[in-house]
Amino acid sequence: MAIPLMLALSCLAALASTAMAAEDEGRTRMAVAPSEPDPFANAPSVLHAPELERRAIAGILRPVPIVVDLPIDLARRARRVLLHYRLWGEPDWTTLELRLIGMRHSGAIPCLEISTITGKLRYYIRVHDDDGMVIATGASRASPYEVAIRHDKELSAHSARAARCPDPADCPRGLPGCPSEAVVAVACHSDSDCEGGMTCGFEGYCEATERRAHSISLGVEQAFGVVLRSGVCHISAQEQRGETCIREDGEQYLGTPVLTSVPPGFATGPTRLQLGYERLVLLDTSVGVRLGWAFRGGLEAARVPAIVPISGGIRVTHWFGTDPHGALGLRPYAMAIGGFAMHDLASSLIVRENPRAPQFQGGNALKQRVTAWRRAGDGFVGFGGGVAYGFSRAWSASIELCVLESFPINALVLAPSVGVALGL
Amino acid sequence: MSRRDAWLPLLIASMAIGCASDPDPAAPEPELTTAGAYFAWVTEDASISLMKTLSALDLGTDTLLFCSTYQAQPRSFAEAGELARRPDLPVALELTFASLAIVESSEHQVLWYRSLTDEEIARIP
Repeated sequence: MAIPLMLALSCLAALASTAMAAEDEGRTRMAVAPSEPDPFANAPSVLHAPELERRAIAGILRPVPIVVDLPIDLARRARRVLLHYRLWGEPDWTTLELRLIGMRHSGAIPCLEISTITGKLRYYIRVHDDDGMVIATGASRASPYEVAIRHDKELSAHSARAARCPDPADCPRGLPGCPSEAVVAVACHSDSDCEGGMTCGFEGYCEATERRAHSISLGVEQAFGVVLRSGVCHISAQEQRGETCIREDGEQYLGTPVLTSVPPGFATGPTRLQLGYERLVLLDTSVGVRLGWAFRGGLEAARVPAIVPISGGIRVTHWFGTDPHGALGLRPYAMAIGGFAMHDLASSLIVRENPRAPQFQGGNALKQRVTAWRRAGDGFVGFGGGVAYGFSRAWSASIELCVLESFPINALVLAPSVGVALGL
Repeated sequence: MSRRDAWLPLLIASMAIGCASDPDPAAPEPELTTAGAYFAWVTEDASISLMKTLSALDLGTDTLLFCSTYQAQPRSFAEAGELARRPDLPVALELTFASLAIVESSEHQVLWYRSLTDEEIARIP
């Protein structure tokens, strides 16, 4: 029976750096040099071993036992000790969890995995705390420990021969001295705790996914409004309710209109360029901010302040589906938004002049067409929905419609938009 | 449709109902004596004259209209009405006078209205 490979992982400066990697298969003891002082307090402890002590020899049809002794300070924080190994010719790494027996973490690479495959068995160790964060490592995927698996005839004469692997029923996985349980999901705290291109998912396990937690977006929005139009061109409305009526000659209308019932109508608003940032906080929920610039559609008239083109908003988005960002394709969503924006909403209407009333402005015909502007805002709240299409891991395009209510100068604003987003 | 989904159409309907409930007053019309009124009348030579009232002076037995006369020679009141709507109609006489009684005794029609400009107000003596 092979004597387990013993890794004494220690950060103590008192440990000697002794190279004892004799080619005595099954009886390799590796002494580890003390780790260098870690300048980063929160980084995992990096454990070094001299080059000659990173290799061992074992025979076929034998399990490869692994034993890890942790220093006390690491042992107190360690929750899981994972062994990652890869056999010669295998493309992927396999993860096993070493079992804590007493003060020692031990396990074994199954005999059936080793089988009769000769060549280099590579492995490394990672120690995780309760949160899944990696707090210590022994070797790494880039520079692993190595065990040379050899045929019996290449071993020394006094080493035991093995005809076949033990029956797994006699030694189920996970029991002391038996092959370790395979680990399917590796717990993690952040993306740095994962390897092989995987990222730390929202459920705290490493996963290989298309999902990008952060994204920036660029889009164009065109606002429309539903506005009340009765009495909007009266002087009092233009002075107190954010209305401005402009005649066809470009002058502001300052006549005396007859107050008539005019039904609400649609108005056109500004066109905005929008830059956004969004972050996934759950698999199906994201929060984000959007900054906009109105480059077209604001009221420009004498004695009327120009529109403030800048807008901003905070939004919360719910994405429909189990893991909508985990795959390409359609991603429908609904969202709520609030922020600040000026919406200059323009609609055309006919003003009927009152010829019997005192006149303060010349040139106002009995009936004339004016453009009624309503400067709605500056705040808004609203909701909306849309659909995004992820056509690559990084890129997606979207189309959405927002329904906004402006305040204190109120108006119902409909804001369709299209955009593209880049996942980070 | 649930109560939650019905609020938007109810909102729009309430706006329409609210607007429809406002009374629609009869729009006042300009008269011959209304400053800014365009009128056409058949003169002594049977031609139609297009004029604009600048001001009216009540003389007791009659009312004197201060008017501008336009160069247009309409052949009908309908044509005069179309001409009156042009803001750039050339003026023949900036200031002339007409008797309200005479105009009213002739065939006449108030066609249009446009409030007096500063230039027109300056013509009034």
